[in-house]
Amino acid sequence: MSHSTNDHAHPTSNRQYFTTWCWLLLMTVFALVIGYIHQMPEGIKAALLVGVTLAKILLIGSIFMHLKFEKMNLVMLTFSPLLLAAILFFMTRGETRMQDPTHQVITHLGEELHIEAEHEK
Amino acid sequence: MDASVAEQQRILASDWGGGKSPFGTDWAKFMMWIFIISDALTFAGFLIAYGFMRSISPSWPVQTDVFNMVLITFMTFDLISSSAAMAMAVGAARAGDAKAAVKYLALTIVGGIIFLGCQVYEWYHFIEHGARLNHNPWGVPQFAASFFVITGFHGFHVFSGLTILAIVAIRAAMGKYSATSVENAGLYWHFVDVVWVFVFAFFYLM
Repeated sequence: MSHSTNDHAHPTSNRQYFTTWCWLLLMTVFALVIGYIHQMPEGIKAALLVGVTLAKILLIGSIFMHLKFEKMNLVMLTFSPLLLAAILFFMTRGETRMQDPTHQVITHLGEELHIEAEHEK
Repeated sequence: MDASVAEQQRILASDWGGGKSPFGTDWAKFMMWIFIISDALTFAGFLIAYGFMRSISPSWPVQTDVFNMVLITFMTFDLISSSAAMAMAVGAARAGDAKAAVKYLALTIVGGIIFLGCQVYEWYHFIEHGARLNHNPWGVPQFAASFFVITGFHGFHVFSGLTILAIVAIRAAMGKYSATSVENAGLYWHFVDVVWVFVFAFFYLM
């Protein structure tokens, strides 16, 4: 069995973990404040929340999960779900109200449509 | 002849030349990463489906009015703190300090149990107000359905993570542990925290 190239040391100290923890808590408070600002335009709110989320997962991934010390090919692999999720999100976006301001696509979620009855008349 | 020998040696010494992991890590850790990637895609599917349902819905309840945001924020703080304790446990395990590793593992588990307890309370409160999988008092059936499926799936991951951590902690206390097993359990726990970061932002705040 081959050994990990970084078996010899994980140089992250408890102090660095504590600093990271502080930053994560600050970012959580920031996200919470954004969540409460209802007057903010949706697009800006979404962008800020996505930004804070990405910053948090970058911190957790690089410091707590030690990706900072891993080989780049493993790091790229771990970010593949983000890329695939983004692709799926943009693929489905075309069917939503975000891209359909006149609401021609699904507008009767959970309600029964009476189109068939009209055709039968 | 020298050139081909040199080329051969270059290939053998390269990442994919054999005799070592191309990803620079042992197989157990690599497999845990592969599992995390696949599980992340499952959660991504749930969250994108939720985003889609919300985007096509004429309205959606204001989460800050429906949920107890103090509780949700506390849960986020708790899981982040638990994750920090786990990182310290891994550090202690790597340094060969079994006693410290067990101490930090115990702190991690306590954090996880508190999170699960809060989640159970939140569900109880939600169900008491009339929320079910197919209807709820806030007028959008998909709201409660999304809540129960996403937080339920995440909660189940927290529970299974706690089970794994308990096993690792007990074995560490008995002296039967390896730094690798603590680290791999830690990777899973940090992943659970990462998923909650997404759920917190996209389901409770956006």
